[in-house]
Amino acid sequence: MKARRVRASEEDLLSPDSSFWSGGKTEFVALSPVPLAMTQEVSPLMAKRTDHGAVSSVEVAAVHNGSHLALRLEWETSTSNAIDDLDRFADAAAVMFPMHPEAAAVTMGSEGRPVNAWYWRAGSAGRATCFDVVAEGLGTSVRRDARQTSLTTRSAYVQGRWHITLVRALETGGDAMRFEAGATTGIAFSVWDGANAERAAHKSASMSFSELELEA
Amino acid sequence: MTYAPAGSKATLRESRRQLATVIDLNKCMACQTCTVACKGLWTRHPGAEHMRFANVTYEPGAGYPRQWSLMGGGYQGREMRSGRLPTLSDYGGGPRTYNHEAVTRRGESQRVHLQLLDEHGETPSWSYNWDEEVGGGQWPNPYYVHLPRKCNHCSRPPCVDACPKGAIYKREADGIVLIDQDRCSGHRFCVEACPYKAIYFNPVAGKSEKCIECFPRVDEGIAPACSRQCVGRTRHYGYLDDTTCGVHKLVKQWHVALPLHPEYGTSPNVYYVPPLSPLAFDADGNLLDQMRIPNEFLISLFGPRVPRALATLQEEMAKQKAGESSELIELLVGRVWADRFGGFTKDPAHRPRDA
Ligand code: SF4
Ligand code: SF4
Repeated sequence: MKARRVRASEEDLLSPDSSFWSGGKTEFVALSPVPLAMTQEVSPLMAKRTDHGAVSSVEVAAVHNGSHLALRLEWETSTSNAIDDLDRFADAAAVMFPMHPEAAAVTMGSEGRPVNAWYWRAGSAGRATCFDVVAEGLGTSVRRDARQTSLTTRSAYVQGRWHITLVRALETGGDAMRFEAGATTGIAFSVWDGANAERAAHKSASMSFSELELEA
Repeated sequence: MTYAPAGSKATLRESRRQLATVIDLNKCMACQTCTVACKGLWTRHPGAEHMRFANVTYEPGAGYPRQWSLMGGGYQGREMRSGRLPTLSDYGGGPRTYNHEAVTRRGESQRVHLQLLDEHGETPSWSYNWDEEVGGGQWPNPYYVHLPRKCNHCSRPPCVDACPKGAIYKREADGIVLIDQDRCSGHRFCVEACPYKAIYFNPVAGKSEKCIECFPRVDEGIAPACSRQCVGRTRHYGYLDDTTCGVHKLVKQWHVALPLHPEYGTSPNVYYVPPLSPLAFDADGNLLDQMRIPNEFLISLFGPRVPRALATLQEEMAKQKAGESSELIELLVGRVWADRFGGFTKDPAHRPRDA
């Protein structure tokens, strides 16, 4: 997948309706249920589940403007879900990047081979939240305040379809993931269906990293 | 020990000693002092309105949250048992008020009854202890039991096993089960896994919360508030392996204090002295040779050791009645309150101020 270089403000990047989205190519990424048997050690209760993976594909597009990377994710789901009761779960999505060349997507990295994820979650009354996540293997993820890494998101649920954009600076300093125009990185995707009580590894995912090239 | 990224789950479950509580159901009067003592200390923040880490309900009854004992969780042999999550209405909803305004100020008291109102100003159809004193049994032998509950700080805690973030752990020194609020992501596998529904989801924080066994008090030698404040003197507190303490004597020596639903397989550490009851009547009002609270019912709560425990209580009561002294009965009467708290007897009012 290629992130085209576009002339756009950060605000334009956030808008799912910006004209540059329609000019570029989108990709359909296949998602499948995470094999939960591998979570037996971190949660034998989660490992018993076989009912996940409600969303089987996500349509993805990427652009950057030289200082910020923007990803647009869209998928079909018959209801929009937020945590509006104690037994309810929210629709959510994440993109994940390897911070080490040998990090595995399916386990969210491993010790010494971290991954970084940008996580978006639907909220009640349109108040979505996002986190920057770092992990070194199953069950190790740490959520960081999105503001620390300048991650911003915008989302809309229209006619059975989620449209979300995630935007972050290429360089944010500190130990955060770095992106560079002209370079290629790995990228993986996850979607959680709130109506199906999906959360944690109980989700659909693309399982392995594919390539994301940032146009020079 | 607390979370270690490369550590195994086994380290989260380990503890060298175990604190435990004994509650004598012969003395509990369902005054809810324990409920309020806990509520006032730990669950007054936003999103915690529905939480009662300590609560007292009537058995047989729906309990709190409503029908908790039918929601699953715990273990079946080595397997974890799946379950369902309670809704806000299962806890009795958010904070309730009364129509005081109409009854006391608008002069409508001749027409309007004092009644509970929910957050929409409507009369709710369910709330905490909605089925108070309903109980079970048929005339002439109705019965109920007051059942105070809180987290059991289980020795085999399914909440620890279920959490995919490794956010729940037993304190190594005393077995208190805590949720690390920095690691919790609000996935609620713990709520499903706990067969006692002692974990509560906070929708404002997006995290799960539970009884912390008043650990800041315990660390300073003060018994948890639910035990210390109990006006019925129903409660004993201390280390299960402390042979000088009432908890040890009642559980390990006298075998009169039994865990709630041992069949859930979690090795809980709140133990209950099952209640004796008056003799039952037949339809003509003659006394029968059986207690009013059916044994099968008590066994369904506290397991097969109930009859032996009740027999021991009766034998020791008979001794005391006959003028002999019974260590067991003296222990349960608890004349000197400090004897019931296994050394956790410091006064919370005189605790040295934190620097
Ligand atoms: S009672 Fe529930 S929350 Fe408490 S330790 Fe046992 S399983 Fe965990
Ligand atoms: S404070 Fe004691 S007597 Fe009152 S309800 Fe609680 S356990 Fe029972």
